[in-house]
Amino acid sequence: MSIKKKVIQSESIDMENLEPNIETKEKIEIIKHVLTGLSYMVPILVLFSIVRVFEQIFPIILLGAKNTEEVLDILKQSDNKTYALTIASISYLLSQFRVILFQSATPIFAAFIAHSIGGKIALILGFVGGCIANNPITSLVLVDGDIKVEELTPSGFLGAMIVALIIGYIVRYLNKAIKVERKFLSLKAHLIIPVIGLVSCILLMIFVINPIVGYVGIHVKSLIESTRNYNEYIYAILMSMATTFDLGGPINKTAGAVCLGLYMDGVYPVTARTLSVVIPSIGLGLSTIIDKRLVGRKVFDNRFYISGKNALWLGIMGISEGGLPFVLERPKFVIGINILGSIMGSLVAISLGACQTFPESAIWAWFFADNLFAYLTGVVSGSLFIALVNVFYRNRLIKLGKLKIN
Amino acid sequence: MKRKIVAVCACPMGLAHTFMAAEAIEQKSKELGYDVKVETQGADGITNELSKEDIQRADIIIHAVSITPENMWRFENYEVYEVTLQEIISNPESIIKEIEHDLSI
Repeated sequence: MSIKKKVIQSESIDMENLEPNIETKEKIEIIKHVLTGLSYMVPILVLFSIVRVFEQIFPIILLGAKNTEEVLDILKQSDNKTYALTIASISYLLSQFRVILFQSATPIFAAFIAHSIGGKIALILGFVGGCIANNPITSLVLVDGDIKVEELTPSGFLGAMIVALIIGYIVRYLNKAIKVERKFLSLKAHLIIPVIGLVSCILLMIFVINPIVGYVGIHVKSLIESTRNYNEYIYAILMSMATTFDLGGPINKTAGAVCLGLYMDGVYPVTARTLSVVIPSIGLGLSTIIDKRLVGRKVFDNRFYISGKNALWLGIMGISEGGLPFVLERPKFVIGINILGSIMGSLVAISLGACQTFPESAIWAWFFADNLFAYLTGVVSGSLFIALVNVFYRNRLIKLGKLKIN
Repeated sequence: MKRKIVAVCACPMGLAHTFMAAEAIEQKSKELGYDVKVETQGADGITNELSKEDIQRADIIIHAVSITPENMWRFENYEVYEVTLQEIISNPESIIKEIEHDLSI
């Protein structure tokens, strides 16, 4: 058990861990800061996806265009030009909102990581770092006596995360290290720390993080893209495993951060992740409903019939924690079938052509997936697998007398 | 007068763990004979917000969080026990007991 006792101050000081666990402490702190940033970024991503859906739906449904590029042709041929123009311009407007939302996601993420570590001053410095990570910065270089504009590689999500963590700790350190009288406080808070922070942020980004992370990122991305089909399945398997391993625990959340990062840098869609969030809870919930019809008897304790319905509902609403009661009762087996079920569901859905670019798992987001049928097949096959194996296995245990229910 | 526990619960998505932890703390504290007030910082914002007086009057302050909660200034210069959400959900009693032991109350 780790209970940490703190006295909260402007820079909070850890007094002691009641059960000291110093090695993992700072690691846990970093994860906490990253999750804080993530929690502020997710609403932006959801809004971004909604805007994108409407941006596409308007011209496609109302004008009958096959994709957004066709809109211009339809506009030229249309009999009712005012109507077509209105629809097209709404879509055009939305596309600009979408770009703004997407561009603000990374800076907000970085800003709140930094804020979580270093407080108010760190917030804006993190924001700056996030902006530089997200947008290619250009600089002037001299080539053969000519001044040319050179574009620096952006480092994306990962770069934003790294710079935000560093800046956060720098600000926290400076706040502690620089001691001034109260009457000079504004000098410290409004000049010294922001300027040192800003300079170090920009230098770090341009000379260290953008070159290194950007370079690695570009190569990883091209490697992934060159073997896309093959890797997509491996990625789906790994993502499903990590997502279902502890149902909403730290591994799941870390997988979520990785998934969002790859999604934002345009590497992979979120299909495997969103499927793996819902499949275990739905499958486990389903097993409490079908057991009597399948094997003619109850295979769970009475209390599980309530938590089963709960799990089913939570699963449908995209909350993976619904299955927890089942996991706690028989951890190894249930985690095992959860992992297998969600890997199966993800692979079925992806191989049938499902692609989810909406970073939300609940049922209302399913309709935004490309190829709804494939997506649904994935959900159904994965959760049925879990439900069936769970029921038959438990039934067998009862027959063998290894399991008693009441 | 009854002793009092106040707590803040917050998780990244603010959909499930926050409220499961709040429920666990509320239930167990009542069973152990405490007055209890739990603030949740979930996806629907801050509910049941702790006031300065709540915090001042509290014998035990618990932060069950996996992110940095909002409005931390309220807790300045108070002793706070920070625990993980998983642990408080699965084992609220032993955590409260351990804190009691630490405070010798």
